[in-house]
Amino acid sequence: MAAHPFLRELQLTLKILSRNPSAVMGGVVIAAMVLLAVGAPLLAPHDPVKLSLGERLMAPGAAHYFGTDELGRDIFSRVLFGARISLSIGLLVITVAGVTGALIGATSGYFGGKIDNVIMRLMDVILSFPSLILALALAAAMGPSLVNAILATAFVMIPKFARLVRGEALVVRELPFVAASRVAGAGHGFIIRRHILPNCLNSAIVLATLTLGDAILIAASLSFIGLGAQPPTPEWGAMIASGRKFLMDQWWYATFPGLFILFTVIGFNIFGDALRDVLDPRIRR
Amino acid sequence: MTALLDIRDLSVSFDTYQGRARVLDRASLTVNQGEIMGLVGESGCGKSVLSRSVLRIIPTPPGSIDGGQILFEGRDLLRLPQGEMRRLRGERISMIFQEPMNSLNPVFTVGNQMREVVRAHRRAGRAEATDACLEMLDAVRLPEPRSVLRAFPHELSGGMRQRVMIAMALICNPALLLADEPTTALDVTVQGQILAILAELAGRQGLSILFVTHDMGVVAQLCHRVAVMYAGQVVEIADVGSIFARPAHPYTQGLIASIPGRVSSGELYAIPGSVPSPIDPPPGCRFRPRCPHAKSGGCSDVAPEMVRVAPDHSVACHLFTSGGLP
Amino acid sequence: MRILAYIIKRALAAIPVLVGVSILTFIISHAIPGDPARIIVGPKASKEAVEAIRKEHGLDRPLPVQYVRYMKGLVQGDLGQSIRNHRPVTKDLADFFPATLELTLASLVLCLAVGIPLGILAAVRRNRLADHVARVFSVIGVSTPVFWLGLMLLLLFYRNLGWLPGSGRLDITSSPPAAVTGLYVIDAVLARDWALLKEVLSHLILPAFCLSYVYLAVITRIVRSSMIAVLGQDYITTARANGLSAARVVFKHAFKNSLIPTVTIAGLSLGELLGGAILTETIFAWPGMGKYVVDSINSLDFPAIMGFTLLASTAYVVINLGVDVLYAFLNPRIRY
Repeated sequence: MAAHPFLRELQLTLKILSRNPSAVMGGVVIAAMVLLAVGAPLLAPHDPVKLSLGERLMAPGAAHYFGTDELGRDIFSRVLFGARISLSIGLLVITVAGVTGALIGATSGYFGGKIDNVIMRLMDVILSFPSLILALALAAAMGPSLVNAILATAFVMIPKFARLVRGEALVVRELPFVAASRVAGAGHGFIIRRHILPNCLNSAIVLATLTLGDAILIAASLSFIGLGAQPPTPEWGAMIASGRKFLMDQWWYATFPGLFILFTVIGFNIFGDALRDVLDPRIRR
Repeated sequence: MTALLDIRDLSVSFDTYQGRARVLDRASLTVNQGEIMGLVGESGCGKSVLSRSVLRIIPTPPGSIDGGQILFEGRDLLRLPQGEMRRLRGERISMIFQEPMNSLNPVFTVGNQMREVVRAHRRAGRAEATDACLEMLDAVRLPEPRSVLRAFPHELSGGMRQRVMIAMALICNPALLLADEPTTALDVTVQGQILAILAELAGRQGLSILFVTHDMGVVAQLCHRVAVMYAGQVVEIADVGSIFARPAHPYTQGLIASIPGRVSSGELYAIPGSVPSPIDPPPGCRFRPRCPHAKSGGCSDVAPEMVRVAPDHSVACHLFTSGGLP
Repeated sequence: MRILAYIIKRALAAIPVLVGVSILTFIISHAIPGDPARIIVGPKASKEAVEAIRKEHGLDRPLPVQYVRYMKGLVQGDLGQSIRNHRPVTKDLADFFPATLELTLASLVLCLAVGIPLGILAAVRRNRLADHVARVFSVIGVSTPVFWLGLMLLLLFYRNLGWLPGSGRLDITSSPPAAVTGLYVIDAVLARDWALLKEVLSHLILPAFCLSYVYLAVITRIVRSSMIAVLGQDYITTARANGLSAARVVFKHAFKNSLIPTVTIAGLSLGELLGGAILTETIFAWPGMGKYVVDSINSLDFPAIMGFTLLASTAYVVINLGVDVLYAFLNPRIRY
């Protein structure tokens, strides 16, 4: 057993998770996707952006496992690189949304009163928009690019994290040792960092895992509409949009990228559900 | 007197994370026609499970009835088909529960729920059912019965809700009422009122009651006979006078001594130790670890059988042999 | 009358939210890169024309003044003019609204008709086969990209099996029924044109199923979990102890209580349905507001995009208000 309490907690959690079939299944899928993403340069048999006009729209076969697209590019390689993009998108979105949301929520809950009221109202307004529609409006206004799609998606996800951390902050600021810390001269920032944030870590991790899947879906949807990744970026949603034109005669083009989106998001959702069951303070033994 | 309810060697267990818990271990008791039988014991002794087993409303995925018989009016309830059992519930045997807060459905009016019970057991029009409800609400001494029928459960106080529960349970005039700690969650004054209503209705309608409680004081007030349970087993059965005058089992003695005010020195008495885990019960007498009179040998090896020590007094304890107290 | 007071309270609480929505939409529409006046007239117009437009639309005034102008327009139903076809956006949206309404309603009906029984079944047969199947189906449902699902459905039912048509609300050669509601299903029934009804339904099935797929998973999950929570409550034990039949206990006593959290989540998740409609309409060339907004995006028609955003969000807020009211009818405890 590791000595540091955080590491010990981690070891214990991993042990419980390994007994949970859902967690294992989801974890395996996620690990597989990460491996594919990280190892894409090594695993991809072809260059994802290299044109090969003589091999256009070939059916899946030994040379091209998933066939080729209208410019002769190997779809399998493009899907592998797409894994990099999608996973990066997911990570970036939850990082931006998580950090921003945490700051907003911590400020709101800790200072309370009018500040809390105003901030939570703002969060309510953001939540009053259907997620995809707001992301769409933002991405359209900012201009079609992958970065803007990431920012737009992150914006939509902020309120969830804000609410989570705010709830924790409301509880923590009533605790006596917080008052004691203030008397001892601790600044607001210190208290937020030291006391509020660590307490919501568990719930934040569960939220992040579940949100990651949604983030990938929204970003892929934006790319599909044309607001996210632009060609020739091998993003899964954008590939499906291109593949749509050839759907009837070249089924493979749109099918495989979508399958990968499906598996990746399933992995995160199953794992996130299992994680929530395990980390839920009521169930935890 | 004929035994209305005769529970013989009932064993019930539950599946838990830590293993199979033997919640009831060959428990036996009888309730006679027209009597109020107390069932007393601390939390976790299995008294609730016993009363719920009679109606067969134990959830059977985690729980299972492992053996024994429950004879009611001569028929073994455990062998009865589901449909027949359902007909018995609410009609011949009824039950009231501890928590009046949540025991009535919050989204339907009292009248809706009461009429439903009436019409589940006999053909009755809405007016006829309403009349039956009003009559019963009167019997439990609820003022303004018509507005009670129109009310939602959250609009009534805890005591009123419990009276509604009693009315619902008795509306089809059952022979046996199972009362699972119905007064535990109520104020002392309200408690007294409920007990008085139960006693009155029992006398009037010839109702038999199995009254589950952890409170010996309530037993003294209400019951004719009482059974004492410990760790899933029945350890003593006697009429109320006997049990308070000459408690035989050391656990019963401890229970009575724990009643505040009983012990003249003014100190509060608590039985030392704690209840054994039902997962892996020790062989022999389960009370042995906490018993001030435990003898080595016999008490640890062999589980004591129920022996008769007086006309209406039986006890399961190695300190006694059949026929008399030591 | 307590219900009425509650409804009014909730309606009043919705107003600041609607104001917030309009403000945020306004801010976003001003984040658009480029000169809004030039965007309206196009790149070829003269400088004077641009200035004239700028003055006419008040684009030279400070932002708060512009916002007031914007709000004034809103309450009169003016969402600006589409850049593509120079028609009022409001008129465009109104034209495309019935198609979206029909698709969304059909999906909703499908979701509730399948999702609720499935959720109840999973709860009643907890941890048995039906439950596991329902849960697997749920997870897949919320993880599926709607646009990809539509394409797969087209591949299977249109291309491979040839059972169903692949686009639009009607065959190219057919004309719609006499317009009473704008919903072809209802209009066809009213006109007693059964052949047309069959055609309309055959066009509606795939997109409705596609759109409902994700939402169905959400509904099944929430019905299942709220039923499980309710079935563990004391009043269910009381109902059983009183001899009520299992059917009565589940479908009367348990179900009504389980609807309470279900309705709330269902209302909140409706946003997914609205978002999904955009993607579904695109895939199936369904001539609704969703397809309209995607076309607008492709031509950078910002007034149209913002008009749609505002309309969709307002609808979402109003629907959730309706959900709040429904909640009061279900749960007598909150009618204060």
